Amino acid sequence: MHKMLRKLGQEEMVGLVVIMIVVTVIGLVFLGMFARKEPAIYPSGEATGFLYSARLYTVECRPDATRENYNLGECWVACPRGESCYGTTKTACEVLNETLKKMIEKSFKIGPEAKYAGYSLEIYSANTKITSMKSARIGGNMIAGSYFDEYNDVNVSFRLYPNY
Amino acid sequence: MVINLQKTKFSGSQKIFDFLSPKIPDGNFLAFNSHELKIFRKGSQNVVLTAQHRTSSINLQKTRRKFKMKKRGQLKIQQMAFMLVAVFLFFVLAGLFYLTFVYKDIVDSRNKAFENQAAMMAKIVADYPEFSCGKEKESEYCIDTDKVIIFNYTRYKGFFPPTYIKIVKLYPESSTEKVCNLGNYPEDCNVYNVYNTGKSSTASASNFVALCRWGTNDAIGRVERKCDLGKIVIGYEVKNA
Repeated sequence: MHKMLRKLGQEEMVGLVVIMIVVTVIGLVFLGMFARKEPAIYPSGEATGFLYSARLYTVECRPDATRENYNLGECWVACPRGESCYGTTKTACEVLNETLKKMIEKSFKIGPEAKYAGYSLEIYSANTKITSMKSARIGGNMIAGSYFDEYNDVNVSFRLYPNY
Repeated sequence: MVINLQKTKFSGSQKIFDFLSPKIPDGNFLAFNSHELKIFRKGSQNVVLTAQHRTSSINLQKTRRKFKMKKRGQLKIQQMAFMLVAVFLFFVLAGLFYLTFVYKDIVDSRNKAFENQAAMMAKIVADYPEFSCGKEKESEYCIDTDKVIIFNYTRYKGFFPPTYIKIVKLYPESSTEKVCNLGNYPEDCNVYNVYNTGKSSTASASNFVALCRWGTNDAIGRVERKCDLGKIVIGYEVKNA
């Protein structure tokens, strides 16, 4: 009688352990699925608007004494050609990077307590990266805007990472 | 009192009870539990039938086992009930966990959709021919501030849906906010109050725009187009259905 009861008790314990293992495995699978979830990318009219507007911004850089100042859209075409700005020691790439960085920082509130945690921007000319910049903190869900200059084959991608 | 149990075969203690009951004289009564049968008698010693009584003892043991089995069954049912409750609670919690994530995604998508809608609305206003730069390739997100500064809302009263339109220069940054007028335009101002109907706005939308104007470039001695970065802000009424 005692033996039978002991055996039954052991069987019950084994059952409980099996159930616990199964539940743990299911839980881990769920957690794994959530943890591995790709960050979402939301298309943003604001980020796109920024790129379209920024490309028209007039910079202090012109190719020679007779020509007008470039706008940023012309600057990111001049940058891969290695052009320098007339009358200064700066190159088109330097002016492009400096101006874009300042414009982003003035236009968007970026920081741990701000609306956005960080940003990243990349410019490709004929599939070659000509410049990229990003803030210290990036990652997670993002809102994205892009601009494609078909004529010059320049692609600009801008991403903002909201604080949640 | 002598009751011969040995001649009788019983299949259960209830049957012993049924068998004995009619034989008990008036004023006495019979009781049994899992261990023994008792005949209570008035004014005399009680008769106790225990496991020593051969025939009845078998039945009494069976009764005892039956009681034990019943108790065990109850425990099992209780155990299963607890397990079911635990499993149910686990799935409820897992479901809530999942729903929290899904709900967060839905709220995010909705907020982004609203922001996009607002940004697009602002872009549409920026593309009005009354403000737009006009060059087909570059007219998107481009506002001609020369047009804005001479814009006269009284001629367009009731034509534009927004309750107000305001344009702010963002970059290059100015230290103080100065509203543009024909006296300080273009160098010494950074805010264009394009118009304001005075109606209350229940919502606003904004988007980036290039603020372009024509001006003389002294370095080359020619007129060139110069653009800054700005933001257009529109107010509008949300009508409830």
